[in-house]
Amino acid sequence: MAQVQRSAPLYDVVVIGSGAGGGTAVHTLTKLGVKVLLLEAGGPLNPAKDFKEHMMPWQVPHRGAGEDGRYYFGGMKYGFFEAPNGYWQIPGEPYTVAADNQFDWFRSRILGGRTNHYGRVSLRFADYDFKPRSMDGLGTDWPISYNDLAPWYDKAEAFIGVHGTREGIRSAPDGIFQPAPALRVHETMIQRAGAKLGMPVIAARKAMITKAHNGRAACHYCGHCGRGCLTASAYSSSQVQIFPALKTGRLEIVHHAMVRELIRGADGKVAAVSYIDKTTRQERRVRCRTVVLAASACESARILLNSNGLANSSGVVGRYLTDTVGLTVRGHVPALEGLMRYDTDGIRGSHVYVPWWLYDRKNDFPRGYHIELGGTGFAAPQVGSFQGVAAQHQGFGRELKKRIRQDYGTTVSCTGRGEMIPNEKSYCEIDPTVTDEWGIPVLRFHFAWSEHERKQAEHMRQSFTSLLETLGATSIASSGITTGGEVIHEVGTVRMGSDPRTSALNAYSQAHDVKNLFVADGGSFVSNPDKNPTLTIIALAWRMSEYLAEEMRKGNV
Amino acid sequence: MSKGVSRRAVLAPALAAPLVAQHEGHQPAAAAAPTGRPIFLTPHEFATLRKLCDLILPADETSPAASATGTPEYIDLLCRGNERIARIYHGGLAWLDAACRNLHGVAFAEAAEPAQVAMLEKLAYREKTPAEWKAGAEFFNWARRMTLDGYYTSPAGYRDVGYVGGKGMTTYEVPVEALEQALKKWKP
Repeated sequence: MAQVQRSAPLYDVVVIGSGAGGGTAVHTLTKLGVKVLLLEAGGPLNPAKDFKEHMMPWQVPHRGAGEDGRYYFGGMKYGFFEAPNGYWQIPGEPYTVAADNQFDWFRSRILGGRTNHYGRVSLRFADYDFKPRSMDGLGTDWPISYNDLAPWYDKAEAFIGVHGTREGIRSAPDGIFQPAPALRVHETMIQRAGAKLGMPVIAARKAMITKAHNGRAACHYCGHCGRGCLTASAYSSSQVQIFPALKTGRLEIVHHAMVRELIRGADGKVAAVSYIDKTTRQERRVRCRTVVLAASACESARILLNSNGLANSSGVVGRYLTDTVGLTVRGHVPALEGLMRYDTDGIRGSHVYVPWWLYDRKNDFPRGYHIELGGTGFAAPQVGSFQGVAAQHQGFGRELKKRIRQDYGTTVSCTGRGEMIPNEKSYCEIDPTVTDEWGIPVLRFHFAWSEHERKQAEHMRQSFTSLLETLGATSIASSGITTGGEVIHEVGTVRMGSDPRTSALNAYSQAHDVKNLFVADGGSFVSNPDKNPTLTIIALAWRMSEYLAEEMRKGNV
Repeated sequence: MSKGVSRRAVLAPALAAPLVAQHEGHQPAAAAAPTGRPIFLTPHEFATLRKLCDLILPADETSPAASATGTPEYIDLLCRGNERIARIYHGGLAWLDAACRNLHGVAFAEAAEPAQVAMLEKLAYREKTPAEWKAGAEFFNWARRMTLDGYYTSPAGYRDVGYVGGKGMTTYEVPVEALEQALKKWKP
């Protein structure tokens, strides 16, 4: 057992990671009077300097392709103008994937993590999502019910600000909503096509505020949400939770702190956190009364697996890794050709979506998916915008220019976001032979879709195709099922449960084995419903933080 | 990279004053005017590239030719920044010259426009490309793709397709006439 120097500073709570989970923990705890140290593996965020919101492509000579042209070789999936939020590959910080497996891991190294850019889709789980095994015999039930979490969904929505409409649909529980923005032309058309097919096309639910809220300005509809929002009209943990928490005087942040392991004290509890200060490459330690892991599901699993079996008597850490099932079908809608030009910027992405609508009948695959309906609208062109037109129509000259004008704004797409059932073949573990440049052993991923997901993807393909056909679309083309990790909804690797033999955490995301250890990220998820995870991460982290503060007050941790 | 992040330029006065005030320090950065000179390719390569870009996207009644939008300069810049792109253009432009000399006895840039167009007809459509011109067609695909990228990320390209956003709004609104127009062409 490692020695912890008494001279190392002592903190009430050390939070590791500053995304949705860490940001919520920091915000809730400091508001309750708790002193917090936040360790972030990346640098600080200065929105005014770091966000490229409102920039036009011609303001940089490389137009967004990167000075080294890396866009052309797949090195820039989310583009030069996106928030400085993360990467599929981080130099010096590799991960490995088992032979014949595929998994992509998107990580972030900056204050606020992936919340600086994410899609902000904010969906509550449905009541049945918490009891999947009771429903169809697959997976595991959560140790909590919808009603247990509902008050924190309320708090989360009321605080971060979510727009939407109340619909009374069981698969999409209503929340506390700000007004939803108007529908673009193609979105109204999709809504009418959906009505014909019995698909409820309702207002999107996203964490962008349409009314001024808590000192944040209302959305100004520039459509650049993914670049980071200077007015914080789109939620990010950095601007909405961490900056205000700093003002309480109870938060201290250490940047470039790459956590290596949690160090157990003689009493079996976490006594200290060991991290590498990236700026000096020196190991440092901080002592803690309690620790909150919020480094992201897989990074938190990695820290635990590198901590001598801490909190893992069940052996579940790293297991039950899931991502969201994704598939996209798009088509060209002739009725949109020649449409009068209008401003389609709005809120980035769709203003509508289809919640899972077949939950009350037997399908040939378990669980369900929702549809994120899109369309380019008359979006601001970027590098790559007309590659599809050129590939399809070929040619050159005046004819090609005409084609591009004609096709501009006519693409409509349906993207499925579906539930994956945890399986034995999908997990992460420590690679015994590889470390990162900080000397920390890295993760090795195993991942496989099962028949459940493949059948679901096929169902998506068919329902999306009929929706597009109803719109009169031509040139309908489908992607395949996404690669594991590609949707960036990886969860489940430190799951909660009522039985310590089959779960790492209790119903408050507190480690069964180690009472002063908590998890605030998606690691705690028991299943991965078709609802994007962030809102639930925030609600769970909020509930956990209140519980933690109360336990500290009572002297239980 | 340009430091002049232009928010004032793209946000309409309709926006709340604080947002504009927040960006007071920023000067609008206009698109750099085309220099007409290479920073990486040879003068001959660049002249050939300019001609090629203008054949791919020529001037018409709506908008100017590619060379007026900084597109050849954009490609030249990326050739400097990326060895793979540089190889594509060194090799591809030389291929064009060699093919043109075989057919017409002159380099591509010196050939008459109908001869240039006839060559591109064979490169621009998969079904018209002779087997021995496949390498040339591969290059043409790159040139077409990057010409579109350069062109439509310029102010002229934005005007050409009719992009009218980038101004911001206080409440998001969609003109009723737009919906009516689409619904005239489609009924569920």
